[in-house]
Amino acid sequence: MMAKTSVVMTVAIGLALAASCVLGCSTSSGETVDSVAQRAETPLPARAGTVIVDGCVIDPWQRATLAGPGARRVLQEVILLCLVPRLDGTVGPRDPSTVSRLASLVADLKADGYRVHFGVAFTDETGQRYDGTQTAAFLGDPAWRTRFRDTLVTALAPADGVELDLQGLPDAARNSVTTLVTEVAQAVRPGKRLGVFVPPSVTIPSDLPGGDAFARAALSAQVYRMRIMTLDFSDLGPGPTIDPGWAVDAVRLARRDSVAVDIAYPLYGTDFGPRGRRSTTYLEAIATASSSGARIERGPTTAPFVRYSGYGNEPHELWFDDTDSTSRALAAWTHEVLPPEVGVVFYGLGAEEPALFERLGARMP
Amino acid sequence: MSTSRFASGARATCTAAVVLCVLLGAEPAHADVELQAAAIGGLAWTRSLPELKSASTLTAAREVRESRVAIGGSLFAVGGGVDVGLAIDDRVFLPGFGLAAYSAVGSYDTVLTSADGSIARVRPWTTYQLDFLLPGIGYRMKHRRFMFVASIRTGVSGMHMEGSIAGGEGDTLASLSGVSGLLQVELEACRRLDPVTRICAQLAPRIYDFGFMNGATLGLRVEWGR
Repeated sequence: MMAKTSVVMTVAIGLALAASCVLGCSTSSGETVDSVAQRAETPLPARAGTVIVDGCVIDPWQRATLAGPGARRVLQEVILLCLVPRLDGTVGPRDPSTVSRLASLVADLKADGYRVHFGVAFTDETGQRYDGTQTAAFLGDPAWRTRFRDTLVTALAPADGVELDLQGLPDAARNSVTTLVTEVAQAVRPGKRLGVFVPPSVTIPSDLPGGDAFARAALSAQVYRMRIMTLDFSDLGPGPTIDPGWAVDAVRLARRDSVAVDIAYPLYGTDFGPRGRRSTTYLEAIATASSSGARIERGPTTAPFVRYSGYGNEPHELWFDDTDSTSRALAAWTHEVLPPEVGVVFYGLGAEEPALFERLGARMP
Repeated sequence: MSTSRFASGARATCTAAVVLCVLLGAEPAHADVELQAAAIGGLAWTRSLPELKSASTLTAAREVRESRVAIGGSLFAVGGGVDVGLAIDDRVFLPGFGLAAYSAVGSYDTVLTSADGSIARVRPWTTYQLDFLLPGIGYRMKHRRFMFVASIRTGVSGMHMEGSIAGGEGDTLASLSGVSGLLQVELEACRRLDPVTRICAQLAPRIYDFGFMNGATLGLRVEWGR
């Protein structure tokens, strides 16, 4: 009888111990592991891919990247952010040698299977962006718009389409922007495609300066795609170049007006210092970390960053993206979150981790 | 014709009544119905942590909608519970209602995932699991002091864990939870300690628990009842 009682007691004690574990028998290992959806062997959600080259020239590294099988699986379009309007509205470059070289470059990229668009950056010949008020004045001048439209058509000849990159406009330029886009659409379509870069507003009215200069509903009827420029999330202080969730909200808002939208992802990084911000590349970030002996940390969104002391012992934070942070964001944008027709536009070819497109290409379905 | 139809209906009614009597064990002359109660403690293993639902969460960057969060990876938990059942004619066993609670045990990695497009992190070591066990059917046989039971039963399983969602330069705490139907096989081997008390080892593979063949429980039970 005693033996039976002791067995019951033992079991009761065991049950009590088990119950006590409810108060805490488990711990964190301190390590991080990817979920099922984030694992390297899980295919990324399929999307149309576009890359933006900031300029008219593709250097040998960029050319090699685009020729590689990875980039050709991820990307279908290349935007050369190359054309600029002069003060009188004439779109350049116009000198014959540059035009010829551009045509040759476009033919090369087409031979690799890419569609090539020319982007119009509203900057002067030095690359300095026009003041928004000045650009608004241009757009409000019918003679300027006519010259812009007519010369743009000529400059576009070798390309498959054109993208308008208007930035820093006052909200009051809304009608002028719509008029310009409508007139350009009438001039270039249907032979060429027309796209427009749109600020990543997440509220109505826009939470961004100049965000309401873009009447998305009116523009959507004129353009092939709206590229929602979900970049430079941390514009006030150090932080990631993109927050993947914020980017989703910006695209969802834009999709109320148009189905054909792209979400943007940065290939470049940003160095935040006491003298302001400066764009950097992945290789520059790694070199900075190496030369300053700084550890590469990761922020909440998994974007890597480096804290280092710069010239004059100034404190810097350099935030950038690598293959891990990029593929995690792309995996987070499941088709439940953003439908398959939303494309991805990568900004800044040449600034990325060299193996990025090979590794993304390997995860394409 | 109408007499024949009446006879046929009466036969069907009688047959149904007999079947009902057998199933319920309510036939007064032969059925022997015994109430059984049990307390169990042990381990629960989940083969693959399921997708759970994160509650709507306000981060520094946005309001994250309620969304499904992929996790994955296995988990061991420890806990216990109670349940009741009926033994009919010392052969048929009908598991009744029960309740069991488990808490994660061991060391776990943070799981990096996403919630509504935002990067999220899940902490499997904070997992709690609650099982509401519902009726099933089984068979038991005795050999001297030993008894063996095999049954299949239904239930509802709930899981909860903590995590966080990234928003810009910070994280915001979030909770995740999910509910699933439960279907499990229960295999028991028991030894009688006294006329009404038994101690049993129980293995319960989960045929469905947030997914097919997604785990099992292994535990010791103390049972009361003849």
